[in-house]
Amino acid sequence: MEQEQPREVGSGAPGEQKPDRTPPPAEAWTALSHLLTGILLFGAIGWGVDQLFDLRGFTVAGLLAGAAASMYLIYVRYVKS
Amino acid sequence: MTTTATAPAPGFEAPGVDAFQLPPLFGDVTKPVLQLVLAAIIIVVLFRVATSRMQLVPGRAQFLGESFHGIVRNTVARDMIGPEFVKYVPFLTALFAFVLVNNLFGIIPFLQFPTFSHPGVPYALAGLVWIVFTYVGVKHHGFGGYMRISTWPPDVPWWVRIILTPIEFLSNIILRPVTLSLRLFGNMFAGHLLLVLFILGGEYMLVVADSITLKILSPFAFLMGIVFTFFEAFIQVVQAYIFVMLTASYIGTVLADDH
Repeated sequence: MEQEQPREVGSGAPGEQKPDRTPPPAEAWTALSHLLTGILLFGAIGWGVDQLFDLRGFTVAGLLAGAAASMYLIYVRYVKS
Repeated sequence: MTTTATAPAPGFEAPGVDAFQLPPLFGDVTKPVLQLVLAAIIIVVLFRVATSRMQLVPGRAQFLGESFHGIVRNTVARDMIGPEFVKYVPFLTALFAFVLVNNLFGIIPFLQFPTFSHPGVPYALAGLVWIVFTYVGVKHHGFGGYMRISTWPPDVPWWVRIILTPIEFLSNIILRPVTLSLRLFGNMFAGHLLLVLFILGGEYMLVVADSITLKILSPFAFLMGIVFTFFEAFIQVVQAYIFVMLTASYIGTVLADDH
């Protein structure tokens, strides 16, 4: 995989004006999908912890942590790169 | 539906999921099944007509066929996929035509049922799309490379990856076909329900209801039905376009080189 990369970049670069990343409209859908996935995934984990150990508050913590994690993921994927 | 003059009219029952449970026409074949076959036949025939006797200066049929192909080629495939877009254009064009025709069945008289308002149909189509973009990604990058661009956020510490990778894995690999199919299903389902509601509501007001006020007001229900039929035509085209645009973008994403 690693050796392949320079050739790919080199062959695509000259006549190409498109940056080789996710196109903008799809970025929006993907970002939304990431956001919901993070919230639901960690919310579900928190809810599971709450149910398993008969606790409270982990659901909320999971939802919030999931939201934060997804936003960071979107930042890493689409803003920083 | 027949009421005697003395009996009070039955209350209006709003249409629900029952409106989508069509009885089988013969065997296990239902109307949506026939519509899927009909859509395929219509598309094959239209493109046959459009591509027979191809000329440098296109005739009317050829011009329409080429315009349709051009829309997918230029505004979907080229923008979304990048330099290697050409080989995906036939698949995307066929997909767009198939979704579009099946959606438009929702407002074509006598058919008047959008095939994709049955969730199983878009599930199958999204499953096909999933197979295509996974195959393209694995073929282009290898399995490890495909997983890396789909689930491996660049330039973050390992412990952050433990949190982010499950999100990306779920979002990119598991949920993509789900959201793709549910978006189409939801739009077609809601749109059809809306039309059924206005038309049946109008019919109830005109035919069944006792009140003269309702009878006088019933044309407005039919009018709204007509207005929303045009609105549905718009939604059906847009949803077919979005479906194929997202498919192209998924192919573009798995072809993209990470950096």
